Amino acid sequence: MIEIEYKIKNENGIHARPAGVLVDSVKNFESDIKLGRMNDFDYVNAKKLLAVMGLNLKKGEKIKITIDGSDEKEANFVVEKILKERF
Amino acid sequence: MNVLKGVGISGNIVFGKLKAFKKDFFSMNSEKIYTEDHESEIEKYKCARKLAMDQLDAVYKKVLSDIGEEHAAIFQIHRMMIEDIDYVNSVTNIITDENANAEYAVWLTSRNFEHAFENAEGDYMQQRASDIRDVSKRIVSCMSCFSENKKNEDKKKAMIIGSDDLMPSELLELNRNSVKGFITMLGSKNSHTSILARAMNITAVAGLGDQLRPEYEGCNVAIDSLAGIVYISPDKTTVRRLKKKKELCGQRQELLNSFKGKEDITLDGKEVSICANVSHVSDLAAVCECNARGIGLFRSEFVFMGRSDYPTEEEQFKIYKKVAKQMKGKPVIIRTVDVGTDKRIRYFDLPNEVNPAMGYRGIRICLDRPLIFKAQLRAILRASIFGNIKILFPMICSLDEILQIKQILNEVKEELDAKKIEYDGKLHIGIMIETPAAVFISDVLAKEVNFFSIGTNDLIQYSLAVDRQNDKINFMFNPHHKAILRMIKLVCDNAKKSGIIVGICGEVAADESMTETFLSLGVSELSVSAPFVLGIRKKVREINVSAVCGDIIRALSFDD
Repeated sequence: MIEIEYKIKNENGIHARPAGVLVDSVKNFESDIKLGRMNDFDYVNAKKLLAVMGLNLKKGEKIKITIDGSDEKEANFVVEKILKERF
Repeated sequence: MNVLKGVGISGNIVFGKLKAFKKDFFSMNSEKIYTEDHESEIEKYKCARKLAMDQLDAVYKKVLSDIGEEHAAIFQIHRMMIEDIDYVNSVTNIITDENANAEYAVWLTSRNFEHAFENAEGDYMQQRASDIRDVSKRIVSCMSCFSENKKNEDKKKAMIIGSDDLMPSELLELNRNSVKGFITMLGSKNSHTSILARAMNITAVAGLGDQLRPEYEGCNVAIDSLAGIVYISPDKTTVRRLKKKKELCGQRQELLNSFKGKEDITLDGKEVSICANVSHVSDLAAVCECNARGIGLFRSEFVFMGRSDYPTEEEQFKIYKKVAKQMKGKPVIIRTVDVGTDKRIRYFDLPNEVNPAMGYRGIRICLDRPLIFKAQLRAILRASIFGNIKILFPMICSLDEILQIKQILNEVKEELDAKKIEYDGKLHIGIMIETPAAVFISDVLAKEVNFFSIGTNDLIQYSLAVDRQNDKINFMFNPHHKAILRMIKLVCDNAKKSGIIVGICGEVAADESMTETFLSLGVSELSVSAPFVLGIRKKVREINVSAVCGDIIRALSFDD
């Protein structure tokens, strides 16, 4: 299992567009990908758009992403890139 | 008669009956109807869902080709929302658990998700809620779309749509046979909807605010978008006046159309080249339509906009190649990317500046970031074999900058040679003359390049020390100022000595009152936005340069 920690830098938080990009890019991975606030038990499936949007993540918040499965390395690469560019 | 003042968006003058655009259509379906026939309700939902996704695909493709990726992306996201498994499960559960009709199930699902977003604070939460509402509304309207559409088809009368605001997707779905134009309370000249309206050539006035009142529904309305005015129940005199204006407008366009295919030549036989400026892919169709001599300024910034990262060489190559081929051998002058903190692109990651006009911008960024610059040059060179491409470099202030550029260009050419990749070996390069420094060393610069292009906006700003955005002094932004005209003359004289040509690609090039002056000073190319090309051609053909030239040049000396 891979864990990523990240602090949101997007001025507008994670609204429809960045959430859409994330979901669209990870939906075909076999791995289980979860996303939520750090130190919070409320993790959601990163392959579900409305769930990701529903987290209402704002700039400055710290998040954690866990990736677990056979293609976790590839998924990790994609997730890292999206975090850097859009989150 | 009521007269409302707004902002003219596109088109000219149209008449019709005002019809309110039903924003609240969705709320009409919120009533729960008890039904135990779960299967047919779920089937109804599934069909509507499929139809809604097809619509969004179509809208996405249309906006992508007409306007660009930047504006199209949201429709893809809307489609993903419709596909979202939580949303689908919620709708079907409400149908089966609550014995509800499909419309109600969608309405309640939408309410629940909106609620979750609205509860959180922040400006952008509202936006998320409205996205959900928008897709839900679409699904519900797909359930009843057959009956709704028929109703509209019956009305053959000319209609004007009135609304608080129109979304691009809503504009695309209006019935073009009956809808003659639209007026909105919100909106501005540069909104997505306005850009689209211009591309579709539909008449519109936006930004009417509270002036547009619900009780006007059903009234006769006249839109004059040339003046940005809407008349509610116009009186006979006004209607007559507007019809006359529309006729004149049509006549002028017809007259101008008769100039298609004619040469750009003055009465005394001086050849001028009238080209079009392109700042968007969607401008290309208009450039061909207006019969321009070529593209005098292709603002390559738009290739870089609306993205999260730099476009690759390959992506750029495809765009430049397409443009070169589409212009079929007519010249295409591509200006290398010209950004700065006043024309910001996020991933360039430019620091904030106190004085962006004099800051890190244009060629300065390119020379500082050679990898980005080289990728663009490689893409342009590779595309050059598909047409008649020339490269234009912005914001030049010194000879050294040109020498550096030529050095880099040579490196790129050598790399291409090594890989045996073809390009136009005789490709012309030119520079923008938009700083006073470039004007006064234009004799030296002329020996290094194949052409000059005067960027009037910046040249005037730097020379007269006037910021056009500043309301207190923008009246001083004067293209007729003798200092500016003398500079243009100096540039043209120096260019002539080296046998190169001078063009003007700023907004002022479209000002017919200056055409005579420009030609007299020695300018031989004018590049304007497409709608002005034929007007300027008409003007050029009425001018006798040798007859007026002497007076115009004498006037520069203040001896009059």
